[in-house]
Amino acid sequence: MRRFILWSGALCLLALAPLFLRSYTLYILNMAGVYLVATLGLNLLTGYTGQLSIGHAGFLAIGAYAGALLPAKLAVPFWLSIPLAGIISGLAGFILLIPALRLTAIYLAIATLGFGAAVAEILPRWTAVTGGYQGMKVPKAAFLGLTLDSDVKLYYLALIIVILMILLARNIVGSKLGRAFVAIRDQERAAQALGISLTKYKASAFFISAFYTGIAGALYSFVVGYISPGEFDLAKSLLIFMMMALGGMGSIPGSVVGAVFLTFLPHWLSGFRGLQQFIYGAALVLVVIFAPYGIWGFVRRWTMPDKLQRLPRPLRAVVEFVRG
Amino acid sequence: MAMLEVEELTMRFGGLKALDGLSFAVEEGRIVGLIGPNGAGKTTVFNLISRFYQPVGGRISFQGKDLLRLKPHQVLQLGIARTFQNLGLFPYMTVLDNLLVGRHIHFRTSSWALALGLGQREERAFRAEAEQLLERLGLAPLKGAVVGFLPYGTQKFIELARALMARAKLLLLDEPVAGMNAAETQMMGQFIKRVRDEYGLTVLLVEHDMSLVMGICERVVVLDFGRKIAEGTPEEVQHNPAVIEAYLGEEVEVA
Ligand SMILES: Nc1ncnc2c1ncn2[C@@H]1O[C@H](COP(=O)(O)OP(=O)(O)O)[C@@H](O)[C@H]1O
Ligand SMILES: [Mg+2]
Repeated sequence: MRRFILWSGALCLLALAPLFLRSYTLYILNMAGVYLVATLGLNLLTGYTGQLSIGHAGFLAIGAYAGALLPAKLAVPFWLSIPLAGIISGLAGFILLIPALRLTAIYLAIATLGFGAAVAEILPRWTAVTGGYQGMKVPKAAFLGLTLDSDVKLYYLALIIVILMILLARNIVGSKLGRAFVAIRDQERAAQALGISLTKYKASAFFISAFYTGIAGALYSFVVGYISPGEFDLAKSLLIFMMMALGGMGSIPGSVVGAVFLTFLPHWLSGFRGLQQFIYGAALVLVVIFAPYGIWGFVRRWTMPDKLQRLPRPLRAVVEFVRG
Repeated sequence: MAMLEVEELTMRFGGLKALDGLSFAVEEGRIVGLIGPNGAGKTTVFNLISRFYQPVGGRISFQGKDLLRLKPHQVLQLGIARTFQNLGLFPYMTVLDNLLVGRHIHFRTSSWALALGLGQREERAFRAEAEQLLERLGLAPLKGAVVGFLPYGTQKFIELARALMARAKLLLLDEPVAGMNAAETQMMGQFIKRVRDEYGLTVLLVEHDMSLVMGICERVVVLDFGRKIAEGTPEEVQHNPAVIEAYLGEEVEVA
């Protein structure tokens, strides 16, 4: 009951936020929503299933272009174009299943890197469809005669998508599906001996992860209004990865905290001209040193010391990667 | 016909012949021990049954079905569950979640329905069963604890409980008492016997240490360098010169 009140309160606050916030802040919040969904997607794959990816900007790009092109070229209604963008991106996720079933964690990471690079190369060259390097204007999202032409309206779209995606992630993580993911991450052999098919569940993880990131991409295109291939580079993949790792791998609240924090950080630092990069880097290093379980793990350590043993773990593959 | 039949099984790792024409059978309802010195090939037998390796030659059949045609994740569907020598628990999951993974193949709700938040009744029913099992083991207070932080002996019991959750017919236990003290070993032995009787299971037990084997096994197969050197009741095996030879330097304890 107390939880119910707490959550309804938070929801009311979020619903009323546009009354208090400037349009610019709302725009950043919308971007935070975009990254939140993408980070959840990456976390389900990397944090929960242990499949390292540093190419998720590729899925963000596929979702963004699908979300923009479906209404623009095929007159697909906008409410349908967002889930469709997710599904198209999700299907593209199966490409990475091949290296995931054959190669070790490090080689999979390199394959995902290659995937991200390939998408970034194809987009500008496919001029007839994507508009090439200049990019393309995204048609205004419209729904039941309502055109989402302001940051406030887009805020509510983002809010609804974020809530739905968080609920979906919770269901996945709390069911046999999520347990199978973690089982594969921690003990592949034992997972198989308990009847978990690596092919089936890795395929599910890649599909779900790419689906999430595709939805994030479609939302991104509507929030930004103009997309070009240059935005979906390695830096963006790493940004999503940082959001997941800093927030807390294998934790949904961690993804929320990580994505919102890293979306706002550059804006908080915009006053420190010149020092910006330094502070940004130093902040990241500090978090890595003092909160190895991510920001969320750090918060839980102080708020619920008795549950210390339930902290999300840092990813083994990453640790192995760093140690060489 | 025996429940599990291993015939002429041969396994090679590079130049090393880990198993050399091994044949034995496990009758339904028995507790059978597979023993032998370190490196004899006992775990390799389990890994072949689990389908992690492809043998060079030979056959394995379970209730008349050819096991070698299956993939690793299909073995449990046939009714064979196992534990691992160095623990196969998921260390960052809670005790309860580990047990629920044991029930994985019995969930009927589809993944799509689960993603939409359906299937709660099934989840609750299995959760209640897992809690009951923990209660019987006296581990109920630990159900929310993360497994990896628990004492080794406790983890061994939890892994066995997880295998029981799978509702298998044949249980493969790889050194269930390794690293346990005498009291824990005694308890584990009692527990294995009790679950065999109550669940109507068949057990194939790998042990390096002889005391448990002599205490609870009805039949024993002895391996040395990948070959079967003896088979029989614990008493017969114990006095077999070839067995004493193989265990030379290691103490053969009489239970
Ligand atoms: N995956 C493997 N690769 C190479 N050699 C192995 C592998 N697994 C087992 N062996 C070797 O096979 C032999 C039998 O090992 P194992 O079955 O683990 O023995 P046991 O369980 O009886 O102690 C040992 O010499 C071991 O080194
Ligand atoms: Mg062994």
